[in-house]
Amino acid sequence: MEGFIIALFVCLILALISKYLSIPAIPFYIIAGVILGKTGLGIVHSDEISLFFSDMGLLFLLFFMGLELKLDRIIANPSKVLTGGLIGLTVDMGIGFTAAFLLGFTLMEAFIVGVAFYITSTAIIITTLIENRKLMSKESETIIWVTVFEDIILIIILAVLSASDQNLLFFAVKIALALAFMYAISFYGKEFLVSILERDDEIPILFTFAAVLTTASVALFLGIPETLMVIALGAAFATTDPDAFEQHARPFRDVFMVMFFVFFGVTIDFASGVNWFIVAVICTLAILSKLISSMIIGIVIHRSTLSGLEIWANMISRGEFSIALAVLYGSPIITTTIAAMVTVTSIVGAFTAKYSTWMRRGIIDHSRRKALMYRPHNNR
Amino acid sequence: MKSFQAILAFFSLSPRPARDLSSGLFNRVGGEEVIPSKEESDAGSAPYFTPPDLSKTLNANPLFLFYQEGSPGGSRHTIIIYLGIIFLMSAMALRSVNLPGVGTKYEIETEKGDTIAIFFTKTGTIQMYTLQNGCQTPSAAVMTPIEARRLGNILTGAIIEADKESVEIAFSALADLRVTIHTFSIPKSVAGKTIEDLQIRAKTGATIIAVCRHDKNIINPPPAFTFETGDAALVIGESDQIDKFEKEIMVE
Repeated sequence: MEGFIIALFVCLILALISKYLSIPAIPFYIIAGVILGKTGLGIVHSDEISLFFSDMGLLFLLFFMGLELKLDRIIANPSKVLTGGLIGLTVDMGIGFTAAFLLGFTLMEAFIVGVAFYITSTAIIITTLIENRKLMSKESETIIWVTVFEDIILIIILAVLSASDQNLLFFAVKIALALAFMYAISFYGKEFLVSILERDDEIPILFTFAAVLTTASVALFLGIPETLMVIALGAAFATTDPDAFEQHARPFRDVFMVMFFVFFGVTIDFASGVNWFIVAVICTLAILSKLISSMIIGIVIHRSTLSGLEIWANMISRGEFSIALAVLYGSPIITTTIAAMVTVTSIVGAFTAKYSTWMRRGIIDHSRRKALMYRPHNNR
Repeated sequence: MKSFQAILAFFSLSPRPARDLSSGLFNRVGGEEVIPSKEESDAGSAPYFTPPDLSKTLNANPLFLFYQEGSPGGSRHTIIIYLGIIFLMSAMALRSVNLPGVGTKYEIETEKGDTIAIFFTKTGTIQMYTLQNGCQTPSAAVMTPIEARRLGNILTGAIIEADKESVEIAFSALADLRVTIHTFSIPKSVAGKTIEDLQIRAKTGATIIAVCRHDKNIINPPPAFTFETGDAALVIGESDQIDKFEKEIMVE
C-alpha cells in the first residue's frame, strides 16, 4: 500500500512536469513504473489493489473508446475514413508483423506486436493537435479520421483474439444477446438514462461507475470478454447522451489510467534477458513505417508530400491501446518491446508534432532557395 | 433544414449552460400555453423551427433567445432554447463538422477568400484560426468560453460600454415576441426625481426593472424610488418604447 501511495505521488509530480514541458505524460508514467518497480528500485510491487486499479483503467479506457465510436458518422463519410485507414493498416501492420516475425517472434506474438505497432495513441494525438493549434489544417482532419478507423480495427482485433479459444457459434450467440440487451436498454430506457444523467447530485457519476463495473462482471460471469462488452456498453450509451457519460466517466478514467500505466511499468522486467537489438529495431521501424504510410496517405489524399510529412509528424505516438494489448495478450518479451516502443515513439512524436511547422518551413525555404539559384539560361 | 439546425447549434456556445437555461425558462413560460406563431402552423412540412426575420434582429441586438419546438407529432413540447450570439450569421458558406474526440468545427470562407475556422474542443476551450487567402499556415487563438462570447459581441456590433448595453430577446414560439432590455446611466436632470414623478410607464410604456447604485442592485424599484446621479437603470420594453424612453426621459 505504501508503494501505491508513492507511485501516486510520483505520478502527480511527473504529470505536472510533463504538462509544463507539454509532452505527453504516458511515457513518463511508464518510466516511473519501471524505475520504482522490479527492474529499478523495487519499492513498488503490484498487488491486488494495484491490479484492481489497473483493470479499472483498462475498462474505462475501453468504455471511452465505445462512447467515441459513432458508427453513423463513419457510415456518413466512408471514403474519408477508409482510404487513409486502409493505407495505414496495410503498411504499418504489414511492416510491424513482418519485422516481428523475422526477429524471431512466434506467429501469434508477431501478430500482437504488429497490432501494437500499428495502433497509434488517439489520446496523445488529439491532445497534441489541440495543444499545438493545428486543428485547422486539412491534414488534421485526415489524422482524426485515421485514428477513428484504427479504433474500429482494434475492436475487431480484440473480438477475434478473444474468440479464438472458444466455441465460435456459442460465443457469437452470447455476444449478440449481450449486445441486444444493452442496445435495448439504451433504446427503451433512453428517457430514464437521460433523466439520471441530468441530475446534479452524485447519482450520475455513481451510475456510470456502476454500469461499467456491472457490465464487466456480468461479462466475466457469462464467459464473454469484458473488454468487448465494455466497449459495446460505451457504444450503446453513446446513443443516449455521450457527452454526459464522458463527463461523468472522465475522472475515473483519468485516475485509473495513470495507475494502469504505472503498474504496467512496474511489472516490466528489463533485467532478465531483453534483446536490446530487437527493441531498437522495432522502435526505429515504428517511426519509419509511419513515415512511409503517412507519405502515401499524404500523396493519395492531399497530393502533397509535405502533407504526408505533417501527418507523419503527428502520428508517431503509440500509447494506451498498444499497452492495453500488451497487458491483455502479451508475454514478457512482447511487454518489454511494446513498453520501449511506446516510450520512444511517444517522446519522439511529441517533438516532431511540436516542431513540424518548422520542419515544413525549412523544407519550403530550402526548395525556394534552390529554385532561386537555378538559372536555366545562365550558360556563360 | 439540416444546415439551419447546424447554424442553430452554432449559436449555443457551450451545450451545458444552454440546457440549464432551457429548464429555467421553460418553467417560467410553462404556465402558459405555448402558442405557435402563424407561420409555424402554416408551414406544415417544416414544423421544427420558424426562422424569425433574422436580418431585422441581427442589426438590432447582440443576444438572442430562441425557442425551438421539437417532436412535431408528439404531445409534449420539448423546448430547446438557443441562447446565442449571432457570430458569423450570413449567407456565406458555413461548414460544420463534428470531429470525433475533438469537438465541433465551424469553418467559413469570406468573400475575399480568407478562411476562419472555429473549434469548440471537448476540453472546453475555443480555438479560432484565421487563414489569409493564399497563405499556408493559419494563425490561431485559444479562448475561454467567456472570451469567445465577448468576441462574438464585438463582431455583432454590440455596444459594450457597461452604461449603454442593450439586449434583445426573441421568443419565436410566442408569436415572435421580442423584448429589449437596455441600460441607461441616470443624467443629472433626472436625479432627485422618483419614478412616479417621471411618469415613465405612462409616457413611454417602458418599465424600469432594476437600478444599480454603488454596486448594489435594487430589483423592481417601487414607484416612490428616487434616482440619484450615478445610478444605472435597467429598462425593459419594446424597442420603440426604449427609444421613446431615451428621448423623453433621459434627455430633459
